[in-house]
Amino acid sequence: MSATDQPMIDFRKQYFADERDDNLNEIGKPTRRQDITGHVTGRSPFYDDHLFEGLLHMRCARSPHHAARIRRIDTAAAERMPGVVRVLTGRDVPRNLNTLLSLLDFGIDDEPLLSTDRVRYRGEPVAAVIATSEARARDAVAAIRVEWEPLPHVLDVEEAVKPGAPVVLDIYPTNKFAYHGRYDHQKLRFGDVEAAFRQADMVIEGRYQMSPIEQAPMETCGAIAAPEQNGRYVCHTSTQALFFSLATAAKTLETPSSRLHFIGGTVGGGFGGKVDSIHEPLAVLGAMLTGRPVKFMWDREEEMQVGAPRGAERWYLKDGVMRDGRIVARSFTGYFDSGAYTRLSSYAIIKGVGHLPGPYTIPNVSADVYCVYTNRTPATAMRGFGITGVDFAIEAHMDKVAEAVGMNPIELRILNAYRDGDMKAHRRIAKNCALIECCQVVAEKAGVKLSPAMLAAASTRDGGGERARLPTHTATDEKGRVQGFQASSYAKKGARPPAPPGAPALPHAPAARPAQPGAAQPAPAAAPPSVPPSAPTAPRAGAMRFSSLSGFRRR
Amino acid sequence: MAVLVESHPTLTEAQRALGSDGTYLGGGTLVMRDVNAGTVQGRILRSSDPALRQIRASLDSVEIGAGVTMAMILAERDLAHLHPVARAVGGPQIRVMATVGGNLFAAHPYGDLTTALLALGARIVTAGGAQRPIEDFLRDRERAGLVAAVQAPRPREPRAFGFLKVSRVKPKGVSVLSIAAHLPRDGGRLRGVRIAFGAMGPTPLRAQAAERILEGATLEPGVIARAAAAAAEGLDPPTDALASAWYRREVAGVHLRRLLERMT
Amino acid sequence: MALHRGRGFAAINYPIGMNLGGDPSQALIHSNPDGKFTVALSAIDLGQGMKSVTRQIAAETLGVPVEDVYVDTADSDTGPHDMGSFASRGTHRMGNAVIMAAREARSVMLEAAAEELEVDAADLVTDGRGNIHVRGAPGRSITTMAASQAAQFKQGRTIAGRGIFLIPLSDVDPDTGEMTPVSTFAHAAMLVEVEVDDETGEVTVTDMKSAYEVGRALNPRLVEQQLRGGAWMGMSHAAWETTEPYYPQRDHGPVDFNTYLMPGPGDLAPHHISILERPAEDGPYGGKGPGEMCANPVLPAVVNAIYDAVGVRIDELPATPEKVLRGLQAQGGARPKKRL
Ligand SMILES: Cc1cc2nc3c(=O)[nH]c(=O)nc-3n(C[C@H](O)[C@H](O)[C@H](O)COP(=O)(O)OP(=O)(O)OC[C@H]3O[C@@H](n4cnc5c(N)ncnc54)[C@H](O)[C@@H]3O)c2cc1C
Repeated sequence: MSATDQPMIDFRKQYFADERDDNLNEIGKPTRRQDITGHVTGRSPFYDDHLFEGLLHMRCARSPHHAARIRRIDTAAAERMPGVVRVLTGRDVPRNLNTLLSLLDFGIDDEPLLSTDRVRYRGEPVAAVIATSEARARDAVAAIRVEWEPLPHVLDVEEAVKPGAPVVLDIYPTNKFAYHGRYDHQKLRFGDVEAAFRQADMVIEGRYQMSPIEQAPMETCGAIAAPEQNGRYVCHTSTQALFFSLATAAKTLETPSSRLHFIGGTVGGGFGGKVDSIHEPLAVLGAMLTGRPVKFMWDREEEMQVGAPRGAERWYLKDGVMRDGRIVARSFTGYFDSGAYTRLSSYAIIKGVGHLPGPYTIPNVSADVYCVYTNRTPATAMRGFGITGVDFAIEAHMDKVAEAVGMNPIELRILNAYRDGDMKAHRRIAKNCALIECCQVVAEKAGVKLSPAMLAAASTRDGGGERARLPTHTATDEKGRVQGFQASSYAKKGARPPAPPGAPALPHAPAARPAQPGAAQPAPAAAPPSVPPSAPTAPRAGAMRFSSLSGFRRR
Repeated sequence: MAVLVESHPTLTEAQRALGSDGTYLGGGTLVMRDVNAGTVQGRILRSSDPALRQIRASLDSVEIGAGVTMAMILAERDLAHLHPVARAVGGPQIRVMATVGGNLFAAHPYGDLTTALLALGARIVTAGGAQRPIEDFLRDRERAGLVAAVQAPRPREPRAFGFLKVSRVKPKGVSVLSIAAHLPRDGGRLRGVRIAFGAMGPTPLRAQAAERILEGATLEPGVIARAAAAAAEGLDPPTDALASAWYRREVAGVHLRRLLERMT
Repeated sequence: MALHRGRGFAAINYPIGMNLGGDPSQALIHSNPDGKFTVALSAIDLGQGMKSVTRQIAAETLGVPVEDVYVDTADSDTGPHDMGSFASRGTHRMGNAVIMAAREARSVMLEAAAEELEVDAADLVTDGRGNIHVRGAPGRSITTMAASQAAQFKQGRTIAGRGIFLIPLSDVDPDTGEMTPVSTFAHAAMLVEVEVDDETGEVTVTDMKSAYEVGRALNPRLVEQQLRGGAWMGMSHAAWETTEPYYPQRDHGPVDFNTYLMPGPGDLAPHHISILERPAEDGPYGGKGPGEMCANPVLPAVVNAIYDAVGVRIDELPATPEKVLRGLQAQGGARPKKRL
């Protein structure tokens, strides 16, 4: 069948029909979107459509260096320029250290909103001008004088993890995030890959590089904040996560969240780049300090070069394969390029590791995945976060395996596909699988002939049983042990990191929570009981909590 | 600093008022972005001189006012040979604003129309009425003053002029490179060959080695192959976000060959 | 010159929702005086259709026509907490919260109707067109509007509902990576056809054939919108996009859409989509999130197709003409494989 004969879209209702009730009133209907008329006529209000009298504009002065010490920031000339209302530096930020994931008890605050002593990537903000027009803000930014002392920098992930590489963040002296306070990488160990490689008919290796990518929303990131009544501040924002943004503002500004009124919801594309923005706290801070509405919005160049991209990833894959195409072992070494700060990369790795070895049942799997700091724009979420890069590696690798064993690439997938009831490498049983059926449908559409066995395969059949068993032996190791981190959570530094020189002391808001006797001691090997602790652990200034305390975690 | 816009009834007056601090505004597709970014400030000069928007065609040449836009070129039957070039500049929104004058000054990787004008051996008419060959103009365009018009010969037959643009994004990406070839024929032999490359140097440049091979020859596979092999000689391609210097050099000849094959 | 055709295949699955759980979403629903419903969320509509899919879910569960429901997002003063629109969690997490809220509101509406009809609420059903009637006796009915007005202005009841969906946060074993990452997976397979120019290294995607398993196509148009756009993005990632064309060096970073490369309308290939629906146990009406996974199979399928066409492996994205050309030169020209 030629391509043009095929429908552009079809629904294969015959698959899994017995698992579905198709007689519903609204579900399954191609109902027109509630907001579509507004969108296509240009009338839907986005954050930047909210008009305020006397609106001020904020723009940042940024580092021209990949890494440098800041000797001095001189804002005097900028402050005297026409239209300039105020120039902010890190000293104006009540709690000038942040990482989004610390709201989830996951990771150490490591990133200033405005750097005071050191910059770690080109484009890092060190001051923010607030002026009566964007043009005036730009002019004043150009008038800010910073004395830089350039420092050695490192841009490549594998260079960064070599001994003696320039240290990006002092709290991670080997340029690697610390997982669970235990290791400098996230491990996955299921069975014994080394033993299986020795027994495999062939071993196939590959190296894959995923590029950094811009989320490229039509609407660039931004926020407008303005004083509201009763000591409150309203903030119109492009955020993808209203309460993440609200909590980040409450935390970094040390303001009760009840004083913040965040409005968003209609956003011009996000693709992950608007999850951990700091436009909101800076705009609200501007409104607090000037008493006027303040807009902080990136232009396209900022969106592309200082807006956090999808981070680059480098993957090494090694498969042990039998001549008949069965993959008996697969190992991964991965390096996520987190850039200069953690943002969400540490989390993406856990998500990625839980996804390995891809949608296949492989009896021996291992992975060492590193969250690596380099002197580049910090990476953040993007569509398929934690998965897109490794899926590229896995599926490009599968093609090599298919060639090596002389098999049709679609049949190789079906042969190794996971099925209902199979044990996955993260030690949970697979259910609700449908990989095989997707492969079969595409083969049919493309006129690729599958063998009768492959045509007869189904996700609901031939899984489980032997395939549901945990490996009798799993090879574990202590490689990459780290010291000085609390073991109770993903990354808790035992000691407070040194305060940046010149930074105001923040005794009530430590960057890393010191150990609380009886509360945050290293967790016992066994799972903590799933009961809420009777007393809250360390109280937090201003910040709210979104997710579970360590004690809420389940196994 | 604020921006001050001055409008002058003639280009000569605009030239007189320009001084060292003024910026001339054509269609503004490039200037306005710089104004928004604050890199262009102070006096912005424009001219409402109707001559700037005129297209005058004679049998063997055309004079195009510097203020003529790509869209106006596309609407002009006498400029049919330039239609593929004008259509290759940006998308429709750009083409209704982008002027011939602005294209002459547009930095790499822009200047597709200028590449065509270079191949045609255009002459640049400046505000005072002085004329100079386009290659002289391109050598020091920063000091050229305001441009009133360009004069370019009209190719004698359609296949005497060809244009090709390589871009990564279709249909309106900017140039990895562009090539224009003017191949007048005199009894089967090529006479007065001019080949120009865009995005292969700081300004559009002539591929003189290839021109020498083609001059006096007939357009046959052996000749085309030799011209293609010499295509990148003397060019100075940059590395940028679109392609590396290596890549540009590597494919310049391939694309020249394809263009010449189209023109046989 | 020669153009070489090649076909490449890839298959993927995709975890729905924030890994390890711990990412709640909440919803509030109430009836307005005329029996229309407002759903208050703090969810974000990025263009993906959050407002619309939750509207359909609310209408389905309440048993009222979709026109009677309006979804309001996102105002922190009125909408309860939601973790956000990312990680393919919007429909799955918020959809469930909306179902829970709608069930509670529906039960009050049915109680009010029962009082008016003088029957037992358990015997009442909705017809989805704005009527509530006694099961098996369509004649004994009341409109949802009349029931709502009776509740609010006669009986003194609030027709409202609260919903939350939370998969509690789970832990990860540092030594083995044992974890409970997510509750459900979406699936996809993709075959891409390309043409590779062996003199310039240029790759043209000429056709895409896919199968996506999405749990349930809650709104088939919105699903198609995601799959089409997402596959375009996958193609873009495969051969065009990057913020750092000379990674790991930072030089020549693009700053606008003339230098940041993404395929234009003239680069689009026909994409023939098939949709499979295997409902997720814990998905709202079985729905999973199609939004993120749709890009993923395209990246590897494109490089596999390039290999099929000319025998050059592109293991570093994006697959630029330069990388393909260097590969061709290194092996002395095209070596078509034609394996698919
Ligand atoms: C999205 C986009 C896509 C584009 N795509 C292309 C493309 O595909 N190909 C391409 O070639 N270009 C492209 N350009 C660049 C640009 O639009 C064109 O080169 C256009 O022709 C510039 O003309 P203008 O009238 O807009 O110039 P302006 O912005 O008005 O001026 C540009 C420069 O020329 C000077 N100038 C203008 N007129 C005169 C004159 N009469 N005398 C002296 N100096 C003068 C100005 O002072 C300024 O320095 C693109 C630009 C954008 C924004």
